[in-house]
Amino acid sequence: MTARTVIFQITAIGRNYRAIAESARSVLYWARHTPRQGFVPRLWLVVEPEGYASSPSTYESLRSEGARLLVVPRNYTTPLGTRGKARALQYASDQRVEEGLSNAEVWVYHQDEETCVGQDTFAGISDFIRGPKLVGVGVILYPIDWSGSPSHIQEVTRSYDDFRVLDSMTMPKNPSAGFHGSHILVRADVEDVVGWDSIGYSPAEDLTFEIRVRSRFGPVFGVLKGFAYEKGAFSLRDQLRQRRRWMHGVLFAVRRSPELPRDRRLSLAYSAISWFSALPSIAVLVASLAFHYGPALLVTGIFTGFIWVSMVTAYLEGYRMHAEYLERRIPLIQFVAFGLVGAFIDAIAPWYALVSRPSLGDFIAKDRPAGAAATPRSHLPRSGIRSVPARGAIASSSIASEPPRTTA
Amino acid sequence: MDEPATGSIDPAPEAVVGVQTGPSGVPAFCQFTATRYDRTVRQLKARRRRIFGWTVGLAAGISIALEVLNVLAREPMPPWWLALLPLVWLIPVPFFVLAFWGTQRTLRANHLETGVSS
Repeated sequence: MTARTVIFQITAIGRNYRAIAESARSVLYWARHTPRQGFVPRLWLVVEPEGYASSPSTYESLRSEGARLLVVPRNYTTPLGTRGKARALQYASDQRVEEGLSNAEVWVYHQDEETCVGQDTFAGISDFIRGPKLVGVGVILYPIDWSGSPSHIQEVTRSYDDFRVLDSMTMPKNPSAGFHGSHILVRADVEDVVGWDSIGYSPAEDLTFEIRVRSRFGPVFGVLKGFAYEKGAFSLRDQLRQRRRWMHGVLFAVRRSPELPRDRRLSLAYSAISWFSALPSIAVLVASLAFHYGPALLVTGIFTGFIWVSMVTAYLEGYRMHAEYLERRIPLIQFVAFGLVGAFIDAIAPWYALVSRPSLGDFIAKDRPAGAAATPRSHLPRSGIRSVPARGAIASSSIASEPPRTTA
Repeated sequence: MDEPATGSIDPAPEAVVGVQTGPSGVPAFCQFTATRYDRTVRQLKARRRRIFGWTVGLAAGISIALEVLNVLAREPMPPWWLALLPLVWLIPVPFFVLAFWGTQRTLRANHLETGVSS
């Protein structure tokens, strides 16, 4: 019997090379320090040529440490001509097929550039691949480079919301439209049959993928134990741009995804409308200071308490989930004030998405600037990787066309 | 942690040499242990009923208070276009209900601990 293999695949442009190095080394570290993991781990870094060129020495160092480096050739095209991250994901899929790794004994664990793993992630993967499900999704925490800024406080609510995502995803029709692009585990043959190719630029390639898997294989999604560990946006501007990208992804899926069944399209559209309603809700609340809505509030008042408490619970429980990983707490007043700021950015984000659009290579910094000192509010040990000065790029096509190198 | 890894990844010792260490002297990802994870999810699962009670109880309390205040205020009915504005607050209600039940169900139905001690 062939040993099960798990490919830890980090797919990114590659310009945040310090974040990628840290993510890669978390895999290398826990691969060495996790006994009885029950699978053979491999590490693939899939980056664009410009990402590789941003720090060849970092990537070569990671290669020497055991990572397999795939630089997507500039001239690589898919049958449908997809672009962006989907193109890189399809390239990795093609590589697996070519190398005979597209079978039921191989699994792919997807990571973003800043997705670190822990011992629990390994344990969760080990448990999942022995079960009947074909795709696993878990909860993501955001403790890395935590500074207690508004964007970081807003991020903790996402961790608590992941339980909603897990529930929705494991139900037959994914009623509240939850999915992740990272911290997902997919059996390789399933991923490679479904593929990532679609016409043109797909800003919601993870959602498209989930829709395709569900339509072809049915409700094969399960809960993946173990956290993944990521970092929130460093600034409110980056938070805004990140959310803009998400909203563009949702709108793209609603309007231009022919594979989307009608009921899924409706639930997705409703999710988008809910998000859009946040800003008008604030405006109406402020307007109530001047206008008197009178008996109309008898209707809305029934639900107001539930919404308020649900929102506060997401902050409190999200923060509690992170508490184990934060060395110092922040004052309550700061938590409340910054939480309101972060929430306001999330409220305006969908409207911002209506009046602007992300570029193909929309770049959101995940590397703390080199040489930047850890802030006094930093709760975790600084975990950044020392940047290594670039010493000249190696032709990317030569990297990608190298003979396959296993990590064995 | 008493056995060597069996995976094909066997990085050279310098794999972690380039990693900056924090006050406690280890890279952040070294602290992402199964013990911490298990403790976090165990505590969260233990709070599930309390979260349920807190959400339902406090939500009911706030809503009742708002209703009472509204009745006591005895305000006249505003123009219809003004009276409709607060309906925007109702749009996300189904989403929040789904999230509440979904979270409760996930925490109740899944054994989330890894059981691995480090």
